[in-house]
Order: sequence, then C-alpha cells, then structure tokens
Amino acid sequence: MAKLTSRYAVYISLAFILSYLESLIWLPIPIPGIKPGLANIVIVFVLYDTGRIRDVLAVSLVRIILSSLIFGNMVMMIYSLCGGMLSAFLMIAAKKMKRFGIIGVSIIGGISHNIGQLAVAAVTLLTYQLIYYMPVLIISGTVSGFLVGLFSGICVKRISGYNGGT
Amino acid sequence: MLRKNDIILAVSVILICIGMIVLYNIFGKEGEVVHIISDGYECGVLPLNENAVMRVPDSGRDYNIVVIKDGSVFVSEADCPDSLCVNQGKISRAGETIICLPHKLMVTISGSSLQEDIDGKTY
Repeated sequence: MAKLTSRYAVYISLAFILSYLESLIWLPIPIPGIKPGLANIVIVFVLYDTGRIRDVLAVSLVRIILSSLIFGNMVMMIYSLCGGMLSAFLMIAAKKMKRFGIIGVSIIGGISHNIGQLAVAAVTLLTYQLIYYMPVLIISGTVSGFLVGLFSGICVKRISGYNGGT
Repeated sequence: MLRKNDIILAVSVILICIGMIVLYNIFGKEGEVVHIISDGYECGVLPLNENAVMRVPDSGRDYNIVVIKDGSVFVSEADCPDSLCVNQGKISRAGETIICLPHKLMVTISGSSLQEDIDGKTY
C-alpha cells in the first residue's frame, strides 16, 4: 500500500511539474488551447506501465486539480478537467481496442484533449462558431500527441515494470 | 510503439483538417456584419465597412477594446491575464472569430445583415 502511494506521488508530482514547466517556457500561440501537453507523457506512461484504469484516472484527476488550484483558477480547472478527463477516457478505450500503438493512443489523447476544451469554450460562449478553430486544434493535438507518445514510448521501453530498488 | 493504424490515423486526420482549412479559405464569405457577444449577450452589431471602436464593457475592469478598421476587426487592448485575444490578429471573413475566454467575449463576423442566413427559399 505504501508502495502504491509513493508511486502515485511520483507520477502526480512529475505530471504537475511538467505542466508548470510548460506554462513557463511555452510561447503563447494566439489560439487558446494549443500547448504541447508535456504532462501527458506521464499519463500515457502510467497507462502502459500499470495499465490499470484507476491509476490513469487518479493521476490525471489529481494532477489537473492540483495544478489548476495552484497555478490557475476555477475557469482553467473546468477547461482542464473536461479536456484532460476526456483525453484519459478515450486513451484507455483506445488502448483496450488493441488497434493502436502507444503513439496512436497518445495522438487520440491529444486530439480529444483539445476537442474537450473547445467544447467547454463553445458552451461557455454559447456558440457553434468556434468550430472554425477545430482543424487547427486537431492538427496541433495530433502533433503534440505524436511527440508525447514517442517520448513516453521510449520511457515505457526502458523503465516500465520497474518495481523499486532493493 | 508505432503501428500501421497510428500512421493511418495521423495522416488522415491531418489531411481532413487541411482540407477543412482550404475549404474555409475558398468558400469563406466576405463578412459584412460584426457581432460582439459578451457572456452570451450580443452587445454590439456593427457593419464591417465602417471604422469603429468599441470598449466592452463600457467601463470598469475586465475590458476589451474592439476595433473595426479598413474592413477587418481586431482587439487592440485588453486587461485579461493572457492577452491571447490581442494576439489573435485580424479577422475579416464570415465565420471567423476572436475570443477572449477569461472575459467570455466573442467577436465574430457574419455574412449578411440578417441574423440568420437564409439557406434557400421555396415558393
């Protein structure tokens, strides 16, 4: 039990720091919602390391809530929650379908993350016109999903299954 | 790590999106009317061909300054935390939008003076 707690702690703090790092160094692109999604490297890793649904959802949820509380605000939390949890669910489903490799799953995660956030914006502003942004967001989600999946795949190959030192 | 399905997925998604962007640019209608919508409530309807400046809201904090100039619209100034709206640049075609999420502001252009476009008529 202690081992599980400490694993969760490591995953959550890694994801948390990655999302903070991202907010520091990334040049803001004029379109809301475009970001590399570095924290997803951890999420995808957890998905392929333990593979348990509860691990993926727990790490995602806690990371989002923590970083929104500390570095953001309630509005950001709602956007992040919708995007992030949709992304987590779809990635879990994609992995279960056994048709995609880790990069494909991550691409699906990236795309759904952006679509989730766009959906919240559309509801907030009560409009369909935001559909204008969708192609750009989807392409950006694909690219960042690809990079996240690539990196995470390397980590999974090298670190996965590590159960703690002696 | 990378499977055939992944490549099919990525390539088809990107192609579809590029296609959508191309279609938007080819079939985009010239804008005529600028709508300024704050928090779901339309607070400004202005013609695109007349230069104008509008401060949303009229006074107080959380403002954006919307400028219509020479047939395009942009946000020249705002006090939101990220100023993404100012950096979004100019829009001039029907359907294009500039949004300021923190201020729940949306500036958009529609193609005709009617609130809803009539897609077709039968008699």
